[in-house]
Amino acid sequence: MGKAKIGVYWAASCGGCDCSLLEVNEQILDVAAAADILLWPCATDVKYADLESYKNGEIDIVLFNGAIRTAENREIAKLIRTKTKALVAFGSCAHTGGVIGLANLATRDEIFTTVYGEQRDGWPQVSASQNGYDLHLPEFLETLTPLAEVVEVDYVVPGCPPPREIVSQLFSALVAGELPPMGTVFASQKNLCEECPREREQEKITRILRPHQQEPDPEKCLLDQGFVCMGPATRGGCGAVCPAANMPCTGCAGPTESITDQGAAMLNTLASLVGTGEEGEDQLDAEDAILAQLDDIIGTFYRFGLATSLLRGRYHEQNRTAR
Amino acid sequence: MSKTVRHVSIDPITRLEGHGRIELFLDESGGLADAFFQIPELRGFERFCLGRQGEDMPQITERICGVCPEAHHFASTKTLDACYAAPPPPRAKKLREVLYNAYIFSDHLLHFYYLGGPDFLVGPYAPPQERNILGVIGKVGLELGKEVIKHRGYGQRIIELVGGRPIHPVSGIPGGQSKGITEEERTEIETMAASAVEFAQATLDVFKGKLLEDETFVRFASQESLALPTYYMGLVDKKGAVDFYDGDVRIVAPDGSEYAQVGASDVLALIEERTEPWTYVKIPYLKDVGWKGFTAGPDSGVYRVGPLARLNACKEIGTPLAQTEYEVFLDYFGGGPVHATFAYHWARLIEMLSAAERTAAFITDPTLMEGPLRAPLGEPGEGVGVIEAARGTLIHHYGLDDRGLIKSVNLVVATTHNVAAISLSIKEMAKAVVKDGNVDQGILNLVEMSFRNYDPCLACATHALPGQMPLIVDVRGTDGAVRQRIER
Repeated sequence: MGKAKIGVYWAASCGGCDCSLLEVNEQILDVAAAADILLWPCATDVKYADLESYKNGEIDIVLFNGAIRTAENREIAKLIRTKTKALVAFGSCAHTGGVIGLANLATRDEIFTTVYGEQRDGWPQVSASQNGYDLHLPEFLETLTPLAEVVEVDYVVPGCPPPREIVSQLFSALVAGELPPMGTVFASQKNLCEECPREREQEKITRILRPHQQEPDPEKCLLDQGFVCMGPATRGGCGAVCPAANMPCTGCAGPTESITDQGAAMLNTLASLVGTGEEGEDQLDAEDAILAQLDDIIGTFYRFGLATSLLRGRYHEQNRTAR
Repeated sequence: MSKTVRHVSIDPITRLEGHGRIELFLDESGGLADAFFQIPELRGFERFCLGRQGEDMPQITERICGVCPEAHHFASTKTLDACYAAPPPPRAKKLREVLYNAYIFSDHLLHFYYLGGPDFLVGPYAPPQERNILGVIGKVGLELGKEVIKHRGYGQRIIELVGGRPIHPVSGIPGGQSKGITEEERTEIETMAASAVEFAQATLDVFKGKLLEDETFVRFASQESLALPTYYMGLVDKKGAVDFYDGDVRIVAPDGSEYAQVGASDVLALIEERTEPWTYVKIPYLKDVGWKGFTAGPDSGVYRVGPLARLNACKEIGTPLAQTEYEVFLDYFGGGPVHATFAYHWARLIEMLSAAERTAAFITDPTLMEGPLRAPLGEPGEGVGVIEAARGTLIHHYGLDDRGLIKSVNLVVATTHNVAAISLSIKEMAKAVVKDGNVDQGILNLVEMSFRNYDPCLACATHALPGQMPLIVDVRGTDGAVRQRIER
């Protein structure tokens, strides 16, 4: 068997996924020995023209990070799909839309107004002429989508960014030429609480605490203490590093297999935990009062998954009629 | 109007962070007619940060950039310190310094060996398949290659131990840090930091042995047309020494004289920015000097940030080993300010050494291991936080409502400051090397090397200060003439 041919690409991303590939330290040398890198804009000089020149299916596997935000992201995703045998949605943005999926709370015009001001004439244009030369920009799409809404995805590596151990497992499989069956999600099949070092007693939550409001007890479950920790609704695999650092899980690895909507599942969990010991109608009022302490439901429960949630984003009537 | 006979795209530009494209237009003689540096991406953080909980911002804004998340994480945390009028207690501040300087070390290392350095360590005209970290290891040998990987890992490990994660750390909270470190972890960091100092020195030896002996590097570093006499911006401490984490913003003019020195909250008043229809990035310049187009010199408001700018804006480096190297650097160029854009590579490595020295010093500070991690918070309000990202001055500015939710956000990001200068450098380089219509891959790589000097982060760059800041937009006709100027 010849050397494997691999690619790494970023669409709308931050570069953290690319850096996460280096977190395996010397193991990257094993990968380099076992595979030729046919695409990796962050680290190698391969251009789009080179990508276009490859035969269909010439690349064995592409790790694709980033969401689909512009027309260029979409075009390159489709091009890569034709050139690779296996496509991996790598990291939160490709997998669930990521933090930048929160942009779906606004229309394109609202985003441009915020960034470039009220004057539409002054906004960046898909086609513009400067000093007599024609210049083009890819269209900024109305809605951000994860990779799987544009092309078929064969594997998922969740996380923002994927943790070192998971990347290492993927690389080991790649080097050995023994990738698991297509459809595999490289993560724990259980939720984060299963691997969290904190002690959970499922205590009633009497008030919601935000991380800056109180120093948490270092041993006890953050949720028990009233901090909104996304652990129960989130895939494990990272080793619960955020709770270990006294900060709640923010849900970057997305939902476990059995959960449809990560935010709704976590809200449901939370709703079942709040209470003050009151009974009857007072109980409902007391629970409502506690839940009313949640100051940013979208940013807390849908931090990484808004674009793939049941909510999707804000409903835009004008866009619907425009189509 | 069809002035051009040939159009060449470098798409995408590579070995950098984020998306960019260079458009070259050649004239009849095969020389450069015009060049454009475009950033074809935008994600809209300024919009979707609105309504978020203030304390979530360090973890949200670090997703602007996964190469320099620590810069956004702590620019954001410092902004929240200001919003809550809660300067962190000494222990928390020292922990941040340990992490932050390890980040500068690790990020500069990444650029020299993985991103910009391969152009010289492997060679500017080398086959493109070899011009990367693997090619570098091939050239410098596996032994040094493993040291490179190990020390990048050390930087990341320090970030992980102090910040909770190696990429996208979580420890910064308003007025403090969420966690401390154990004595075992402290000892581990002390050992790694000592090794990092030695490795940074060894890297400077590589620079002197390879780049200063490389004909291409020496030519470009001394070529008049590739030097840009601009203004320079950087953070300095009370003595005027480089400070990555804190301090005043100092700006010097092209002749080295002080143009301004202001505290964090006043820096935004010095900058204005403009939008161009052909790129998603906005272009800042010094307001009182004014926008004179893509040009350098004392009459142009174009200024630069990042390693070279910091070395030009400071009075000294602030750590002994790096200070010695800084003096060698100044001697080489005949004194400062150094305008040679290729000197960014050297400046970056001097900073890498200084950052390692700082990590090594902070990790033995006794206040690191005892005392409170959090300061009591005041009522939420408005705040500005300034920090030196590896690529230059980074400014966050938030307004919080009475529930501590974000009601306004300004982000002025390191690479954004440099956009005008990068555009100018690309054009000057293309002018110098594109001749007789020859645009082979080696020539085009020379053009790309002009932006790699800056180590740009283009995912970062498409974030700029919206809202309150003045804005000038030129509406142009197809002939390029200004039809209307919109100002606010």
